[in-house]
Amino acid sequence: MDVYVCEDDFCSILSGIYDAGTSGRPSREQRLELKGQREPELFCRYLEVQPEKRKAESVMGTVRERISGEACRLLWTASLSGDGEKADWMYRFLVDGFRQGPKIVHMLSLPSVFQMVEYDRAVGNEAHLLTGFVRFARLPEGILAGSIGPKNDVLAIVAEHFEDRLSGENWMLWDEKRDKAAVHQANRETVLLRGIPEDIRRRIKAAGTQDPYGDLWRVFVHTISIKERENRKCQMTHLPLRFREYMTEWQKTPCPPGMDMV
Amino acid sequence: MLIQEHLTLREKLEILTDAAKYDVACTSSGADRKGKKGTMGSAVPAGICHSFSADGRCISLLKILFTNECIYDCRYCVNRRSNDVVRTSFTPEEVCTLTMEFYRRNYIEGLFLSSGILHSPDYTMELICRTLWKLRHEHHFRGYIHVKAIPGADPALIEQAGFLADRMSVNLELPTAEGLRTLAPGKTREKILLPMRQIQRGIEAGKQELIPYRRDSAFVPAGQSTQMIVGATPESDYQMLSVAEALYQSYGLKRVFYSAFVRVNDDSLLPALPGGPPLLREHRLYQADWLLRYYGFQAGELLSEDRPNFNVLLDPKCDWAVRHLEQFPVEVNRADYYTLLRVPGMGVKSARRIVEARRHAALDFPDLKRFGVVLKRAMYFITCSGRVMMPFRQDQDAIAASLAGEERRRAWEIGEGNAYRQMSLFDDFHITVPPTAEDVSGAVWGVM
Repeated sequence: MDVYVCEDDFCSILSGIYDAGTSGRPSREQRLELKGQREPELFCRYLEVQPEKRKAESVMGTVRERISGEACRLLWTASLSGDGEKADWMYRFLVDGFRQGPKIVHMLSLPSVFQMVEYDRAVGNEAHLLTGFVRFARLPEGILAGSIGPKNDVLAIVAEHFEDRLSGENWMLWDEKRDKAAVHQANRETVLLRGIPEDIRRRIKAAGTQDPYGDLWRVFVHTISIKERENRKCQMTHLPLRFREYMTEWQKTPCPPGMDMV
Repeated sequence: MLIQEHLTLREKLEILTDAAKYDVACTSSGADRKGKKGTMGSAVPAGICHSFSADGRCISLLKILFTNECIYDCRYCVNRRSNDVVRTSFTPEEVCTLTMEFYRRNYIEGLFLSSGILHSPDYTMELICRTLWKLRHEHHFRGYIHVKAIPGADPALIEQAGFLADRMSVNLELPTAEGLRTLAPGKTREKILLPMRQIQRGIEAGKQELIPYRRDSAFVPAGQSTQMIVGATPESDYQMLSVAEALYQSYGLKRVFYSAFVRVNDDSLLPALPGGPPLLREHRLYQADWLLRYYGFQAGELLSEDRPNFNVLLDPKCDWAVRHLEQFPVEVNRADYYTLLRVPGMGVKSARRIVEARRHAALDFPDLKRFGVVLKRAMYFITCSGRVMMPFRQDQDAIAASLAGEERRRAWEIGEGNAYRQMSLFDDFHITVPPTAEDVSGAVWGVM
């Protein structure tokens, strides 16, 4: 078994698929892995993938030509998924895809295709949820700042939504887990940055409790609930805890008595 | 009446949110509008939930009343004239500031503005219109706006509001004219239906235009909705659902919302609800409402004059399927889309996936499971390539019992017993009558 070890990004995974596809060995004797995701096994040859733009473009070109644009889109969203097995599933999907042609995207009963559609659904769902759950807070300089910690790498999708919606504002959205940020200057294009200085991180985290409208918002969320209908379980289903730590209405503040539970 | 001057914005927000919370609709769906340079906001067709309150309801819009002063005395309403509560009003500028600042921080998807009736319907509607105009034209707000049409207001004002808002609603409140007369003395059925009809005509007129001359100013682009209170008056589920169906068909409504009655006022004409609001009943009505809107069912199929209320133990779709076993089982690899939709445990998404995937391969039960079909409900009603998933007893009672066993865990209130079988004193209650002396002698001597 040959194992191609790649980094967790689109270009690297596609380069791995390129290497596997051009090795001349049958697909059942090859596998793709993300670096650090699995324990090394015996009787495997581990090959480090050299990410190259040329390889990635070659794979995408062939997919567009021989399968379809929809397959390209599925590959892209799958690469955003937080699942450790995604590289191998993308490879399996293309092995099946080159065999079946354009109709592959409808063959949901094939495990590889179903998995790709699942990735697409999971990434799309989380991005959609975050378009609602993101909270900005006004920093003293007037910039709106927010942070997220999603399972999948959805920062770019979410930022696109806000670029359209809040085009005239200065804002930044920081993905805490991947340490990336989308920064938008009023009426300009949004840029994605990697690596945020420590002091800015700290201020983004604290901003939610200092914004005066944060307090009004907490009052609203607390008051809108009907006591006779209280249903914490239902609330939990719709708004899981992993989102709450980033949301203004759940941030711990010194608040007046009776207001401690939202 | 207590009218307080000089409240802070925070206090006003608390009072007017508290007064608005019994209106259930908080959806931001139906409008599709991209952002634009120089303005703030956009709207997406599916709507976006921004938070969930402790009662599990979605918070999508800033749901507030403009004022909680009211000239009416509706018995179920917390803002009725005769209630002794603190009264206050926002100014249009305050509503705009709150909306813009909340929106900017992505707390909300837009504004849901309702109001008590201050002085007269016209006066109130005019204030609402002025607020919306300010929001759209001075603050350049492009997000979602849901506004109430006040029954009895001048049609010109309602039209103006319609061009500023995305969705309008007039609350029907009670499904029958009779109920309305007892509980809402200031309102009549005709007065409520009039603006509803006007909005419907306006929406239809907008659709007739071949080229909308101003692309940004459609009339109520997200459609209109209404709300009915469940359990304040003795109407049956069948009546409620029939009214909802009529509203969808003849008034072109987008949504009908159901609101389990919460007893906020102590009034002799209101029912006492020792078990809390009738939440299960509301839940069943929503389930049936979905069946009407997306699954091609009709109210008459789900309920009838003889069976006017929903089964407590089974959801409306299972209930319907168990009573129509002659139409099952259906073959998953061959049945058309609408037949699949009628199978319990299958939804729009899974039915679509099945129709798409079976063109390329014959499907089996594990495939269905992956597609999201709930097999523990669907297994009684489907076959895959002629086979059932596992053997089971093919009769109504057995199927209903196994479906209910699963449903029971989810239903939080259990009412009546077995609906499909005549109850038997001897089997169900284990009553055994000891044999009399004649029976014994008859058995011995063989004489009856």
